[in-house]
Amino acid sequence: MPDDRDLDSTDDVIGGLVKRLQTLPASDLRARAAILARVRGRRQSPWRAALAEAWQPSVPLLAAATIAVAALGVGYAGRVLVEPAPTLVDGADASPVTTPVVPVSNDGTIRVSQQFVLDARTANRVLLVGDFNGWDRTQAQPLQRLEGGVWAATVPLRPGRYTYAFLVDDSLTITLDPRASTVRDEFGRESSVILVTDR
Amino acid sequence: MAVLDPDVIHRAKAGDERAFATLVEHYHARCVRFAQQMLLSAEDAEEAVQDAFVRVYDALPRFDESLRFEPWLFRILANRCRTSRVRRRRLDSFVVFSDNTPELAVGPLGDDAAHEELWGLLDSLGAEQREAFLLHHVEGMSYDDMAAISGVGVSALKMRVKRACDVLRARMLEAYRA
Repeated sequence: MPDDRDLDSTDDVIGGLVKRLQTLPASDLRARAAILARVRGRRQSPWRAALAEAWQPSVPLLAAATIAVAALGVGYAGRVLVEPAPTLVDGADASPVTTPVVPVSNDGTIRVSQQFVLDARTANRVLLVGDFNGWDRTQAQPLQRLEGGVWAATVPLRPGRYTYAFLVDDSLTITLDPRASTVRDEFGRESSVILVTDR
Repeated sequence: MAVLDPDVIHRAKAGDERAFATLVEHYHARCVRFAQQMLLSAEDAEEAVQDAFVRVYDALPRFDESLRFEPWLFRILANRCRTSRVRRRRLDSFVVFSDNTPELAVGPLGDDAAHEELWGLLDSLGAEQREAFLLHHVEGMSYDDMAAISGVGVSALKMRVKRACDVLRARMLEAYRA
């Protein structure tokens, strides 16, 4: 076993490399602003705590969520195969993925109109919750029912990464977006994720 | 680097968003540097750093102020980087099915030739070696702090750093001879 001092020793080669690696990247105001936008109001949300409870990985809940997501996926695949895609908004393409959109400026802040879509033919009400509204049901964005049972909402968002989910018919259990990637936080809770860019 | 006033952490913990903004301003560049060098992707790094700070914000009310903040922050960030690597491997195996998917794809290393060279060197290290090397030599962490961050023993961490140095030295010599 080598001596600790041997293990930790450096020479000019490594020292020079370390010096180059220690160069700090330029201060990025936009990235810092995106972080502050994401945390704003997060601690005042009792609904978020309720969601955390609903997200505990109990077997029945996970099974129900899996079945629901699988059913949505199968339903959507069926629609794509047998029906033409519905028109979502005037002139917009009915892409199978939640689609960006139109950079707009609002008080000097870049906002991107981000469309969220869920195929839920039997639903009576669909809400959108996510990082952008603090996972707060009272701030949730209602989706509008469109032709063929597709629900859609457009939300102006700053560029950044957002996790989100749908609430169908006032359920306490979230519904993931079957057309988006899924992420799992450190507590094992899943949510859909989208990267909003202004490009 | 200037030392952060402990009162800032105390106020951020109590929910003061201005104090949290100060905290972000103080650590952001270092976190971006570490995440970029871990993930070798500016896009993934920005996402990991954003996630890490959001988690810090959420967990701050439970932070024990008798402990040092910096290792705690880097533990969360290192976890986000590990998660990002796993996610990246999954995404890379996805079929591209729409025009939007490239938004989530790995970006190029960048136009900056110096970055490419440095990141190319780091890419020759395994993730564990890279993390240990960066935390110790670039971020200036003690082995005790690194053990708290990674959950790995001090001896094992010293060995990882030594092996990382050996690999990097060999790669640089190889490049010099070529």
